[in-house]
Amino acid sequence: MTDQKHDVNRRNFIAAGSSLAAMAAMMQAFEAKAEESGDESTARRTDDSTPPMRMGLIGYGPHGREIARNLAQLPSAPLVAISDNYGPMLRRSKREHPKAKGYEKFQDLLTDKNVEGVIIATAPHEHKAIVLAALKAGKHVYCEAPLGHTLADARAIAKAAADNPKQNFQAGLQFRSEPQRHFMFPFMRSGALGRAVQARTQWHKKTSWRRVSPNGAREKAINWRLNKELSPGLAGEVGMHQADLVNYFLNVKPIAVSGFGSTIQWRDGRQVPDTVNLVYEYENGFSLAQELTLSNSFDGEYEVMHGTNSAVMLRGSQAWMYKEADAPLIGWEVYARKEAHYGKPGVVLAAGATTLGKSGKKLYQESTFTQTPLFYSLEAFAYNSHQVKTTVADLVEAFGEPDNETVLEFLKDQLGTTNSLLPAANSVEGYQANVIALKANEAVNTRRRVEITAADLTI
Amino acid sequence: MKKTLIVSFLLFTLPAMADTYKSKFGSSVKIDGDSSVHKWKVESKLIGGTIDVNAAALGKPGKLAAKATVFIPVRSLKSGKKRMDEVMHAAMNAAKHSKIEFTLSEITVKAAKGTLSQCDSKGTLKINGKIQPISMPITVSRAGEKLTVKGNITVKMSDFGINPPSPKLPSGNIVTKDEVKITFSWVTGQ
Repeated sequence: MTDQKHDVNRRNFIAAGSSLAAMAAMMQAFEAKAEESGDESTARRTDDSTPPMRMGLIGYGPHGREIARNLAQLPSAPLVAISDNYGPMLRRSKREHPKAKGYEKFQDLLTDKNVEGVIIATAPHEHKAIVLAALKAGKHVYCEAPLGHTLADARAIAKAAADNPKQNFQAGLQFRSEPQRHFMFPFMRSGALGRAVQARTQWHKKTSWRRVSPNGAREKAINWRLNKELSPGLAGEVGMHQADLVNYFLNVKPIAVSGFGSTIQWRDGRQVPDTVNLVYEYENGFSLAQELTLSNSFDGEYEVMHGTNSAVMLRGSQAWMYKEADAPLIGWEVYARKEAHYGKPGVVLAAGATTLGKSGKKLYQESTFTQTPLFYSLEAFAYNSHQVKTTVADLVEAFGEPDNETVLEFLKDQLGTTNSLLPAANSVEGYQANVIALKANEAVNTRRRVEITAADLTI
Repeated sequence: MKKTLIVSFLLFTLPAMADTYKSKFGSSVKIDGDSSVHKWKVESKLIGGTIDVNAAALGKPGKLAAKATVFIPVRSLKSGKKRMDEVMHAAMNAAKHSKIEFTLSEITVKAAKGTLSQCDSKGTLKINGKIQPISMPITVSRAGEKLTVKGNITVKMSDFGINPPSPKLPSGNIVTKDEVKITFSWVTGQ
C-alpha cells in the first residue's frame, strides 16, 4: 500500500527532466528520514510504547527458531505460543521460550484466544492448510515465502487472504520491509538508473541444505528442500527474494524465464540441483540473470541493476551508485559520500550515510538500521496487524458489521493512503513472487523456456 | 399554563416525535493547526454515533429538542506522516481517551430554505477526557432518509488538558500553536 506514496511516474519524471526530479525525490527522502529519526535510535521503527500484538509461532525448525530469537527483541510482538508436531522440537521450544505455551497440534494453537497473530515457519507444502485454518480462526497471518510449493497452493493462500480483509496477511518477502532497501525505493522509481538495461543477482554459499535426524521419517520430512516434489529449489528458496527486489524496484514483471541447474558439490542422491543459472526476460528488452549455488561462497550475495545512466549495487544493508561519464548531473551526488568499490568510486546510497544537506547542515547520523531483514519484516507484521485490528474495530463501532468490499476500501483509504503502515509484502505480492519463482524452478527442472503470463500472475 | 407546560414538554423531550439517524459512510472530519514550521492537518472519515431529531421541525425557525452522541476515534485521525500521527495521538492521550466525543443537547433553527437549515447548536465536547460546553453554528441538510450535519469550531488544545506537541528536529523543537480548527461533515441516515 505504501508503494503508492513513493511511486514516482517514471515517464513523467523523464519528461520533466531527470536531474531535478531525482534530486528532489532523494532530498525529500533524506529530509523525511531526518525529521522522523530525530535523536532516537532507528534500529527499530517501533518503540516500547507500540501496542503489542501477541504472536503464535507454528514450526520450530531452524527458521522458526530464528524467528523466535527476533521476536524476543521486539516488545511489540510477544511470543505467547509455539507449535511443533515433533516432540523434541516442542520440548526445545519450551526450554528456550518458557513463557510461550506449547502446542503439538497447530489447530490447538489456533484456538488459543491469547494468540492474535500467527507466524507460519513450516515447509511450503504445509502452508496452505495452516494459513486457511489460521484465517478461519480470525488470526492475522505471516506466511513465510514462498507461500506454496505449487501454483494451486499459492493461489489458494492468496485468495483466502483476500477473502479475509479484516485480518492482516503478510508474505515473508523480507527485503520488502528492510529499511535500507525501502529507503532506496523512491530513488529507484524516480528513474535514476536512466533506462533499465539489465540486472544481475548472485547468491553464493557453501552449504549442503541437508539436515540430519536420528529418526528416519523425521529426516525425510525435514529434508523437503532436497525432494523434487516438494522443493521450490534454489529459485524458490533464495532466488525469489532477489528477483522480487529487482521487479519491485523497477516496477516490472518477467514474461518468460529460462534456466538450468546441476548437482556438482552435493552428490548425495538429491533430486534438487545445488547450482542454478536463470535468465528472466521482460517485455521492454530488459533482462535479469541470477546465479545461485550451494557449492561455492566466493563473493557472497548481491543485486546489481544496470541502467543507461548508472548502475546500482545492493549488498546486504549497503548500496552504491556508479554513474556513467555521460550521465546528466543529478546534483546531490556532489555532496554524497563516496567509497572506492569494485575499482571505481561509488556514491554511497545507504540510509543515513549522507551527512550534508541544504546549506551544508548535517541531516542526520549514520544509519543504525542494524537488524536483519527478518527482524524488520516481523516488526512490520506486528505493527501493521495492530493497525488493521484497530482500524477495523473503529469501523465496526462506527458503522456496524461491514461487508468485505467496504472493509477493503476503508483500509485502503485509512491506512494505505495515509502512510500508516510499515512496508511489507501483501498477499498479491507474495503470490506473484511465488509464481515467478515456481516458473523459474520449472525452467530449471525441464531445461526449457517457460512463459509467465498475466493470467499466471492474477489470483 | 398547564397546557403550555405540557406542549413544551412534548416539544422538547418526547422521543416519539424524533427520528433516529445513524452514522453512514461519507463523513469526514479535519483538524487544522499551525506550528513554527508549517501548517498541519489531520483527517478522518470515521464519525460514529446517532442523532435523534424531528426532521420536519428543522424546516422552520425555532428551538427544538435534539439529542446526539457523536464520536471520532482519535487513532483514526491521520496526517499522512506516521511519526506525526504518533506524536499527535500521544499528545491527545489516545491510549487512555480513545475518542473525541460530542454530545448535542439543543438545536435552534435560525433560517431554513428548502431542505437546508442554518442552526445554532449547544452541547459538550470531550477530548482527552476533559469536557467543555460548546456552542457552534451548524448546517443541517435533509435528503430523503439522509441527514448531513456540517460545521466547524475553533478550540484550544490547552482547554482540554493537552499540551501542544513539541516534537524534536535536528534543527530544534517545533512549537505547535494552541488553537486548532475542527471542521466536520457528518452523514447520517435512518
